[in-house]
Amino acid sequence: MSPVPGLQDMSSQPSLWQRAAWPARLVLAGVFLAAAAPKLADPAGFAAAIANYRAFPEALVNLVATIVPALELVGALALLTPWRRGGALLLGALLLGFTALLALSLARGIDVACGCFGAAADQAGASDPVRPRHLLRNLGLLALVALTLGEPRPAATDVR
Amino acid sequence: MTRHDLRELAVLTALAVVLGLVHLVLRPGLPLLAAPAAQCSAGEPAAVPEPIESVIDGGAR
Repeated sequence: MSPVPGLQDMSSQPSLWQRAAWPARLVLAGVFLAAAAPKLADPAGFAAAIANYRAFPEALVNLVATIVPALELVGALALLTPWRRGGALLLGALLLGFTALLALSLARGIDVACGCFGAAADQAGASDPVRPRHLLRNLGLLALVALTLGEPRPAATDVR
Repeated sequence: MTRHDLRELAVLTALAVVLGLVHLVLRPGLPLLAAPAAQCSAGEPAAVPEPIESVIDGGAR
């Protein structure tokens, strides 16, 4: 028992970090579900968007175009389950990859459509060429991943 | 990051890869490995680039 009255109650209260974690998970899940759906619906369009980056061997473009949205979908859904830490790690790794790809395109001066939310979004009158703001957006999403990883593991799955 | 986290990451990644491959196989018209763009069709001779001199001289030689 704590010698200071009320101290134990305070320690059982969720911290501000923990309170911010679940809205962060919801936002992350929503963003990645919204990103995965159009890519899964039009993999050929997304494959074309990926090919424009000229960062992958041509033979692997279709493979990447179908596996990346599946990774986004599985990671986003995992955030809503007790496997949220694994989902957050998966989305964090994806975000690091996307950020590196965007930075590479900016450094090489290639004017390509982002393709971040599928090819249809780029063709729907709102072409979204890669710009530094995309890097900032990804850094913001990485901050949400960090918030999610700061949340303690659910007790039911705490297997060591 | 614990071993449990890494195990979850590995399982989720494997699940996504399987889902992606199934989606790719079931999707008609999208080959698993994209063939490089053909330079010429079968039976048609490959295009021979024009000598650089003829381009410079405007084809005078």
